[in-house]
Amino acid sequence: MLRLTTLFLTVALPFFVLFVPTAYAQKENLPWGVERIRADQVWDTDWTQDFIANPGANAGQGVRVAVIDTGIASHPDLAGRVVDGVSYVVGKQYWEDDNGHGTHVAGTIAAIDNGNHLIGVAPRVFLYAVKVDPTNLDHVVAGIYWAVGKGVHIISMSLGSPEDYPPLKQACDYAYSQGVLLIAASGNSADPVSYPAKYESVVAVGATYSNDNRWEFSNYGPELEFAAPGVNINSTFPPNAYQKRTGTSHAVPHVTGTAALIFASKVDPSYDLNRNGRWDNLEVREKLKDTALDLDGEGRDGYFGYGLVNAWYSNQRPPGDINYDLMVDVIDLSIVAFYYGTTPQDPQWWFGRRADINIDNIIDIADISIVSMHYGEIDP
Amino acid sequence: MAGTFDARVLRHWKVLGLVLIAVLALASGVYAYWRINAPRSPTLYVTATSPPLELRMELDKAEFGLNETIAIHLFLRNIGERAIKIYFPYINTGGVGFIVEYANGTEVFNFPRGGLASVDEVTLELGGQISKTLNWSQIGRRLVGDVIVGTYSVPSGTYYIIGRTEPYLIDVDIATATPPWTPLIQTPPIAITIS
Repeated sequence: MLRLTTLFLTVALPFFVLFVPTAYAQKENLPWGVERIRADQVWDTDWTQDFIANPGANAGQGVRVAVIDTGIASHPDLAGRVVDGVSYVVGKQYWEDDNGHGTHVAGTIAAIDNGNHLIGVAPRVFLYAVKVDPTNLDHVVAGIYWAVGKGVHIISMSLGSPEDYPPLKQACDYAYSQGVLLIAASGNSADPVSYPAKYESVVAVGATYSNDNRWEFSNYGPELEFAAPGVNINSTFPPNAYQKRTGTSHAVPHVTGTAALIFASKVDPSYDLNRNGRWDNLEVREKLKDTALDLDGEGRDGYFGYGLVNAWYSNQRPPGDINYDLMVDVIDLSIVAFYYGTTPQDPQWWFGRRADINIDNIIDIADISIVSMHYGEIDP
Repeated sequence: MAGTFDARVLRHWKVLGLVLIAVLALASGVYAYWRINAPRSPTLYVTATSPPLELRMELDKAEFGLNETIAIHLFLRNIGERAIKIYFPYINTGGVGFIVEYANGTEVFNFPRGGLASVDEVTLELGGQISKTLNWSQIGRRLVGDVIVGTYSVPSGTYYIIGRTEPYLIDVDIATATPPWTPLIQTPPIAITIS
């Protein structure tokens, strides 16, 4: 500790004082789920805390996400995000949302930073709206094949059925084999995980409260892979409105957005197993696993999976780089040391929370360990 | 005298005829009124009550041709003394559905199963109701465990249709409520024949 303090006073303090944020200029409302997984820290890189994605920052640009749902309505916070779509509902030629659910999910993934109301996890992704009747699994099957044909990176499915429908499994397995990451809701009936989330080729997501407790209606089981915010989630809703919703449906887009941020980043060589120089679905899935916050300290389990999805840690380049200078050095270590012991109850939390790398709401030895482990690493 | 007699007989026949016509007209009117206003056959509607909710299922008829689409009318009504908020685990058909069974209780079809994984919140005013018409196109599902191994058009025979709700909760804060969901409400079956 003495060495750390000495290091901080002699080397980092003069630099850090220059960059310590002096203003708190909030322009976008940060939904609690986006804040909890610290997605804003990935793209709000100028320390102003206005929750606007900075130019050049990773906000999911170039990543294509299909949302298989009730369609996506026109909405000012989704302007320019939907690039294509299809409808499988009889009598509905287009993917305009006449229910609201799909628009809500889309907003959590991609509501834009237009200085108006709220913002999503990855505000620069491209959305593909696939309108289905969620009680008709053949629609979902057709939507998956359509999305694969469009070359999407991610398919987001905030729906589920207690019945295993083999054509749905075939479609999911096919999409996964084509490099698509499929993410689905575990279900809301306090039962075993629903389909398609239960398939091995699909990432199953359960829901948590803002205090990280499990939402008790969230379906559970060994197939559950991640937990994410799902209670009282505020997002876009037609017509030009906002609404709070609860369910594993709303946990899914937090994982989808986080995965999109990883897909949009430069590949981490330590994850690029096939050395093709880009993120593949398996590699993104591994990164999500390795960076999740284990909420009950038991490793993977049937109630939280690997834990709370962590947008911040999964998108640091290299891991432990808190100040976006593409290296893990004495400045990163000093920031963690400076805010050591800080929790959300402390007034300096909002300036120091980037040092909470594992997002467990306390800046502690675990965060120092991450920085130490990667100390000296430079983004290649 | 004979002429007087004939006239009296004729008048009697006329009166008799008029009375007959009046009786026939009245009988027709009564019959028509009964056809229009009589309650439906008790076999074509059933109800189940779990206060403050009442689920009613109605069918238009009890005999259907093969491959004929069967309309199932479902009404979930607030019979309590105040407005209520009902929560269902999924967004699908508004919280109501149906089951089709063979006489031995084996399930032929159950709809809906799952849906959008967002809690559905419905406000029912005093006396208010959810009304849905769901169609069964005489398709059966073969299940092995939870796997749908096939679907088929059902053969002629007798089937039993049961109305049901989804599991639900009433007047809770869904953000702080805890499981389980209240078990679903099921109506008694209505027997139908398909031939």
